[in-house]
Amino acid sequence: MTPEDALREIRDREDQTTEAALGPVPRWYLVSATLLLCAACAIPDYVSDSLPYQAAGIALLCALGVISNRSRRARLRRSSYTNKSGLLVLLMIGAMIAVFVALRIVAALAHLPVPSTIGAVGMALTWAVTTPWLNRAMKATLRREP
Amino acid sequence: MEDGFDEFIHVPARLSIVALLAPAEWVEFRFLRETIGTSDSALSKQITALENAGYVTVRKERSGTTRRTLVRLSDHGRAAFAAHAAALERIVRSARTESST
Repeated sequence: MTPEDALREIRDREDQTTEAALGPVPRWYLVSATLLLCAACAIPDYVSDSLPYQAAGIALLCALGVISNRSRRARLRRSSYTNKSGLLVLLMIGAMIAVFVALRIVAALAHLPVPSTIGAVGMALTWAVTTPWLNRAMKATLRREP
Repeated sequence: MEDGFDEFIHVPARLSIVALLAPAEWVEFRFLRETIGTSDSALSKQITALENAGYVTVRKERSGTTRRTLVRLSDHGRAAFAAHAAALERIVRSARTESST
């Protein structure tokens, strides 16, 4: 194998591992996490002491994330991620919070009966739409190794 | 021979395995087999050779009813691979420089 062929082989194989680690988000995870996120954020509209339910919802969300990660066939090294990768995640979280707060305020101002539910639906949909995008965008921010 | 060039890694089957492992914390044995397109036994042979040389570590994990084998590059393997890739880069660069002069 010539050195050029070897270098090409290395790049191609690294890309295959990246694809396996950051491939499409499993549909079961996308659907169940969207529903759970929506429920956890909408609960204040239906229960007076909602904190324990929200904590349980977040714990369940984390558990789903762990299960989803375990179904991956490869996991990238932490050092592969750059500041840009972190910024993308922060942007997504910021967008979700902004959508929730904005919708909740609008719903409250309009005297709608379930403002948290409206905000939660908006936030969960933002999550569902941006997660596949985030996965694709993340690949472009990775650091090449070695 | 170029400094850092590792003939052991340069064997095509092993280079593919190590390059697949390089960006990863770990990868599944099954993923390596399917991506490289080889048999269980052929891949096992190469993994064992890499393991004996201290380049990779192998771990078996039980998840519910399924079992999976995870392979990762050791620190020694990662350093050897980085040096090998750097040596390849230098060889290609110097060949280009020579051909352009």
